Amino acid sequence: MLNATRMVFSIRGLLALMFTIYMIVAIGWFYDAIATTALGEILNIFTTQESQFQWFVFDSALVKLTTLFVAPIFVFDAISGDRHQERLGLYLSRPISRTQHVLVRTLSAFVAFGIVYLPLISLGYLQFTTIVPGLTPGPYFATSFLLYLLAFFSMSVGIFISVVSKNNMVSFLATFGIMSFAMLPNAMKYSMPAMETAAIATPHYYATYFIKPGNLDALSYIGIMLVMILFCLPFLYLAIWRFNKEDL
Amino acid sequence: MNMDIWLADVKHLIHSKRTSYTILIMCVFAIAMALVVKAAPPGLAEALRSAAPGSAGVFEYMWFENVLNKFLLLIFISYGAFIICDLEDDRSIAMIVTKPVTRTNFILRRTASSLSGFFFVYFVGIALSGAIAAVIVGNLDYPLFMLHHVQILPMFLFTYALTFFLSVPLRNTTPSVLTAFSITLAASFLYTFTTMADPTAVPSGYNPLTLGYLILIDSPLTEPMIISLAYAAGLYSAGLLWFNKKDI
Repeated sequence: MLNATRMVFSIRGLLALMFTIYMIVAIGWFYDAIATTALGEILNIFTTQESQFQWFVFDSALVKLTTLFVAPIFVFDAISGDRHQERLGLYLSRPISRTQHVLVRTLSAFVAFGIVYLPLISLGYLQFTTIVPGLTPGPYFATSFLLYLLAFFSMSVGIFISVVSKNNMVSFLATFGIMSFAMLPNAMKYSMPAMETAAIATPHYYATYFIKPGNLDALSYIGIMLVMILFCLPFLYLAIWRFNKEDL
Repeated sequence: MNMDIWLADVKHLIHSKRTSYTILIMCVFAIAMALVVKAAPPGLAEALRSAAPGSAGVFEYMWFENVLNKFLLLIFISYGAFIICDLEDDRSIAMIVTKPVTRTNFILRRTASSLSGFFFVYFVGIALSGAIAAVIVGNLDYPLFMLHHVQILPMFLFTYALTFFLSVPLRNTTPSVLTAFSITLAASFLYTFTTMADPTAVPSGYNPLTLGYLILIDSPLTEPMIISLAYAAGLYSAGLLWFNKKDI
């Protein structure tokens, strides 16, 4: 918890806060303008204004924010930075296992991101209801939380790369590159049906599953959450396995 | 300027993992995007072509939107951070500035090294990516593709100078890179949302991040390029003056 608080009150927490606020304000402002123009065939897939708005907020804007940039900044130098600054030996001299060290770093970053993201996305709902009065809280908050889990996926990838990499910049570039690549199939699935098959293999597909109306029920939601957590586990396992083998 | 040190810096950059990973990731993106373009339905390809009348092909439009404006921007920022941050992270900067070389000379030498390293990565990566795309897609105007990548250089020089300017007060790699990337990403999103709101509007050349879009829509480029170069020169000069006055 102390780690998480320290991250929130550091420059990365400030950047995450500013960026999230910017995105939420910009989404509200520009949706108003976009609502009267045609965005091609994509908008016609969504039959209600609410689902169109949800697509715009979560699928085209917030997904990029959370997965590409905001989430990885909390974790990309978690291990590589400590290694570079020769603090790793000091941390591991404490009575905690290497597995615990990796998990604590990842979970601290996840909590820190949540402290920034969750309140702002909740406040964003209040703003968005003035633009889309019929915006129901269920699908909105359901998808918001799934995006939070998507950020955990980004962090799992980030921590694995941080363990493997010896350089912070390489760690950030590799995480950013992989996330940019991984989000492509889901971003293109509406304009290219062939991409839907590829999108199913990425957690981004599941994070935005409840955008279309009528999809949301408790059992499906729990199932989707479990699927997203399953996506994270291999990267966490690899990070822990690799870190346990490393000779400092 | 000591040419031996410059050459040593350039060799170090070219042989670094940063270089090989960058070229590798660019090639992977090129393959992925070329396959997406190849599989795109005719309606989508036509829509993208009409949205970017000045482009060398649909591939270039997607390349600019997904790779150039995000991943390559980050790469250029990392090279901007090389000037001071790499030495700050190694804790060797204080020792280096005590040598009988002026600070201006030192910064100019580091700038020459990092720009040389970047241009190597940039042109080799772009040449390979373009060649891969031309083979897969088949209808890419390769000479125009290369020309456009020369025309967009002022935008990258702006981000490079911005990173250097920010690295003077912030010193370490992580905060400098994150802050520079946040600013450029916010500027990029600003014009993206504006063009979504009004697809017929030409974004202002006073935002250096619009240069890629202006190239694709075949808009006059002289003024935006000069503005971007002026910003870059101003930020670089300001950073240089500040570094000369700063107590390390």
